[in-house]
Amino acid sequence: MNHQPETFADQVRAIPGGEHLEMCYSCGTCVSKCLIQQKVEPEYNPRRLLRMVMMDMREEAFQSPTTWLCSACDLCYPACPQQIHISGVIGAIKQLAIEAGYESPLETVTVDESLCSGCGICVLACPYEAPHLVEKEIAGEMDRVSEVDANKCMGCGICVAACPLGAIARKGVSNEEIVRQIKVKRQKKGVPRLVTFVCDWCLRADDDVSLLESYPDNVRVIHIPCSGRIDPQMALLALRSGIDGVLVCGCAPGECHYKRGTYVSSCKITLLNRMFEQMSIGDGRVRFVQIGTQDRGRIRREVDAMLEYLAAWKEAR
Amino acid sequence: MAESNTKPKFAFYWAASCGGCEITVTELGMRLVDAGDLVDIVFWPCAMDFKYEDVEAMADGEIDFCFFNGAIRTSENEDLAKLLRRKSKVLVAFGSCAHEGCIPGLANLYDAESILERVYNTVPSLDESRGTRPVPLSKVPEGEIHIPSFYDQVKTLAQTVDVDYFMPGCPPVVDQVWNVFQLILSGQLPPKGSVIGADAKTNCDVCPRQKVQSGMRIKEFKRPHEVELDPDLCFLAQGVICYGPATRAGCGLPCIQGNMPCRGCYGPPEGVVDQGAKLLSAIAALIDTDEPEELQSIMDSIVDLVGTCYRFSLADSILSELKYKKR
Amino acid sequence: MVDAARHPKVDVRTYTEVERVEGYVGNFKVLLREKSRYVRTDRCNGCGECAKVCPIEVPNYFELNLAPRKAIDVAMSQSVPLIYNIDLDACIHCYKCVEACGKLEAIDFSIEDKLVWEDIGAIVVATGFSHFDPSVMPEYGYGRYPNVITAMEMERLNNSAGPTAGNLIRPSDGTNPKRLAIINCVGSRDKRFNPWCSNFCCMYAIKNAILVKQAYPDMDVTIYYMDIRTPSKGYEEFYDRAREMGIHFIQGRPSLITEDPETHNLFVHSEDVALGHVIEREYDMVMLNQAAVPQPDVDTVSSVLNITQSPGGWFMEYHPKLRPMDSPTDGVFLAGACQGQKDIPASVAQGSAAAARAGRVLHADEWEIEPVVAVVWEDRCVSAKGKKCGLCAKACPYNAIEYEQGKAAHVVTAKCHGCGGCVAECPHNAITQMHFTDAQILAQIHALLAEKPEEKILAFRCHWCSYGGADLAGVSHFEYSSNERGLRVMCSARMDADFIYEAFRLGAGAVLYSGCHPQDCHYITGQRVGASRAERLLKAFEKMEMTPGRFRVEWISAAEGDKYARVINEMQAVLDSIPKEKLMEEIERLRPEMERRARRLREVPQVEEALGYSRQLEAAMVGKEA
Repeated sequence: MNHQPETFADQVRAIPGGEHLEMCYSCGTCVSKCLIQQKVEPEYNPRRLLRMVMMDMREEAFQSPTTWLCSACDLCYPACPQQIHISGVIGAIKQLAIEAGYESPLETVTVDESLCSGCGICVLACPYEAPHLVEKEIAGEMDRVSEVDANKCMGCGICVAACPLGAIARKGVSNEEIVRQIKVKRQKKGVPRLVTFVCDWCLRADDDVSLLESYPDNVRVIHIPCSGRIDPQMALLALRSGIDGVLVCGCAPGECHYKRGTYVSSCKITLLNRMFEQMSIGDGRVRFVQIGTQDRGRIRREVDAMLEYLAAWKEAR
Repeated sequence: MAESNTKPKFAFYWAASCGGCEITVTELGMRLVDAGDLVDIVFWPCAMDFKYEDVEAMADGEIDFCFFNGAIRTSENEDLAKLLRRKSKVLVAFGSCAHEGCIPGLANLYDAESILERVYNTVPSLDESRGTRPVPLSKVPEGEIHIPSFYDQVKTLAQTVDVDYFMPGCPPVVDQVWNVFQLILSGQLPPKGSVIGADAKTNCDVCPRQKVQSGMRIKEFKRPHEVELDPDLCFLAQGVICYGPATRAGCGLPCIQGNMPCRGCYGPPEGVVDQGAKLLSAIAALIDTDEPEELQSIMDSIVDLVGTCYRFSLADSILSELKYKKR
Repeated sequence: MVDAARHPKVDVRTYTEVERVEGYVGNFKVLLREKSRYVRTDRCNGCGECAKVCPIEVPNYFELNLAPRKAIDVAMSQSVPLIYNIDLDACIHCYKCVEACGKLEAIDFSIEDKLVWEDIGAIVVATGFSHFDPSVMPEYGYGRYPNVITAMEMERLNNSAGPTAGNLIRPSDGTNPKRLAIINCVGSRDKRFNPWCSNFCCMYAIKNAILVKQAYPDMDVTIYYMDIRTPSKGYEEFYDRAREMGIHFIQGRPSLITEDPETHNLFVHSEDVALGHVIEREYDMVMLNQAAVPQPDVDTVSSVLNITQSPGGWFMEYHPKLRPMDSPTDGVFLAGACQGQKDIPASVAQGSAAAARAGRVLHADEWEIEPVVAVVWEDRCVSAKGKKCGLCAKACPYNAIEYEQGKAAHVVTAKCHGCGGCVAECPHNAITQMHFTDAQILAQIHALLAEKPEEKILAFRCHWCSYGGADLAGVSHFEYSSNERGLRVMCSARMDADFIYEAFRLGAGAVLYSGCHPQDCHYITGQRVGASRAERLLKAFEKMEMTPGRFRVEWISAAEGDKYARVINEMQAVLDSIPKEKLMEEIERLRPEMERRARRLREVPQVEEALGYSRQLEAAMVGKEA
């Protein structure tokens, strides 16, 4: 019997999730199912990453953006004709990379330790188990605060929305940065003003994405990394400022780029509407729509329907 | 009372409130006697006999400081708020009702008409309704009787008049009342608009319970009486909604020590505009599901959503604002 | 087809189903159900006057429901024989057709299905294949997006005899598409549905692309593929021709199709693997090249004809290389795609071969079979004494044993292939196998373990696989322990538990139980019978606390000489690792239990006699050594 030295592929296979690596026949389904290459990183390519592992290209794999950008949404897994759990394999590669001293290049969230109360909401909110509570000395006193593992954080911002104290922020999508964007130019009488929060991942078609740029100025589009980033206070602030409606667009159930963001936001907006109902405030002004990968053109229909509804609502008032 | 002219003049008024705030003050015990030595009580209708005319007769700003508790529910509440504002140098919204509406503020769920209808006509404990309704003006043989009119909306003190300081709590705990008393007497007051008699942190910060860990997400929200509560474990980890993460510390955790979740009476910490919306955002992040049907059942397990999220802050919420702006 | 129908010696029965098959090679009795057409086959001349007057239209299944047919109609205009047939579920009994038929009086609503028995010498199964239904793959939107069509729908739309007279149009608006995408491997090479390559679809895609391109030279035709497989003569050249014609080939399996809800144009999302880039391209129409799958009723056909299925549901051939057109049942032959996905030339070749094989049966007066058949000792069979048993019939992969409670089991010799499964399974030792009797095998066991049995590894090998494996190990000069003693039976199904107990009773150091890999069994399911018995034995020995590894079960093919040598060496290593005294102690400890379990073997006719002989032999050998 021959004893070959352990290859990179052997190491990946040995980690739970990495097992079915060699079944890949490079059909490319995962690459096109995933939106990362289209939206974020042209070099992103799970198929090639698996190939790198098979070809023992350790360093290249560790440096590949694919290793770090995969959010384990598992959109590719059910689509893979070879039934390879690709995010599991990528997770195994990432684990080896971290062990080898590599660090995630992603923009991650940061905790303001002076604000953090250590309540642990973020620990439960995170889809990736990135935050955990630690005891540490802050301004000369021992305090319990949340600490985020930067190698696990994918930057979705679900915790930012969940933190009751605003102690967590992510560059570009902090509370202040989003709230600052919630404004719509004054319109002529009868023209409704709408704020639309659009998750970065729910629109697949290029023409749907470019559509967002072409709305007239009564529709303000605010890009967010995940619909889970929305917090109901933002919707309330928008309505208080005189904006007529708020539309939040997220991914379809099972298609959320950050696993659970769409469920969290669906919960928030549904409950907010229940509150409106309980308060006998006109409902339907804050809406959540879950746009699936095949719902081409739906964003236009949803925005149009919302504007139509708001116009009628204004008229009735 | 002759020598009292040199002592600061103190007023203590109650609007729409339960009286708990007054009880807290009386709970100062012997310290209340000390207080009596330090200040000149010029108006405290709950404890002593004063007339509104007495206050009206004072010069503007004559009262050095006034504790105002209770929400603004009637025309009388509003009139007195305005009057005391005029007559006081320092006006403190004392207790949760004046601060953010508190339990009386939950009446904003309904309009005045339906509340009166319920109380005077349809409440089950009423043997037989004679259809009597209070009216602001009644003519009787002796002349006209005026009673205050009942407003449609419950407002906080700050929504009615300019307030200098806010003292949270339902009621404020005794020690904090004493602290505030001394703070005011010391003259070392913080900037106007500050919350006094409370801490900057939240209850979670000071809570000794074991905190949540990953994997403790919630499949069903429960009310405290539905679970055998572990006295050492975070309530959220047990599926019970606790206001701790979104509530200012300073109360000394009497509820949590009594194995009951924090109810949020100390109001939102700095930076939170709408306490209920923030709490909703936090609890929504705890749900444990990736099934749309299960999501429904988890959401359905929260009973009385507004009452849960805005137990003390409904009058001060954007929700109330939206409701009454419409009219 | 027309030629066949006109041939004096060919009897074509259409609209007829095989209900039951009895008998054996050369002597089948087949029950046929001639289904009622409500039209008399002897009178209908196919004029079609009836269909012209029929007021009822139903979807035409031959046109994949792209066109209507009448309630009385023919499946297609080239039907042979050209006899009309009434769809009674749709018919409203207006009798307009009867009127139109007039004097011919071919239409008769009183005709019922007819059951007929026929004597048949040989059977050729040519039931073909079916198509994968792509609507179970929501990513391609078939069934939701009108302009996503299947290959078969394309076939009809592009056929001059089809519903559009060969005018390729979009179902959504009836216009000619300008851009066509063809997606290969829809449901094939896909572990979620069918793991196999469907064999002919690459060529089929190219054919369709070329046909479309010829008819519409300006059309942009793109084929999305994972691999283009062109293994036969002229195929690669055909592929070259398609590329020369300007047909685009994109390597990349599309993950998703989206549709513009207004124009019903389609956007195919895929990676271009050659570029490494994700691409989204717009098309007017998409054709899904579906997988070839077995017919939905393969299970019924299998059970009627007693033929087995390979994984996935294709009919199993007797041997993949040597007898690819024979089924495991003598006298039943396989032709075409029912045996496995294949293209037209291969189907024609196999069909002709199957016909020739069938001719061999029909021309023979006698049929030679292997002599290793099973025989029942009727006086020992408990069924004859009225007891319920039937284990032998259950073990037989060929349905060769007729079992009826109250009668002794009966082996239909012509059907028996001699695996010996029934012999080993019979708990009363009432069946024996010619040339592999219990007595003969037992004598071999005794002889092989005559000397120092505790040092020996007794290896039971099946004739077709592990024996071949051992043979290959020998001719390849793979070294393995010389303590191995091989014993050949026809199939692992024949490896009676009693043999194993007897071997251990005699003090064997180790015993190997080896046979074919499950999918390779020469006797269809023989290995399964053997494997479940081996499983029971492993459990029994574990309970007896026998040192693990002394009894080993391995499936070794004839090509795995290296594996055979390795297994034997590993078993030797196990024996070497047990101290001699401990081994002897264990053998003695287990001997009474082994004796108890093997006791019935002694009752088997001829056994005592055979063992007496082997004892003499033993004595002689021991004497010689002394």
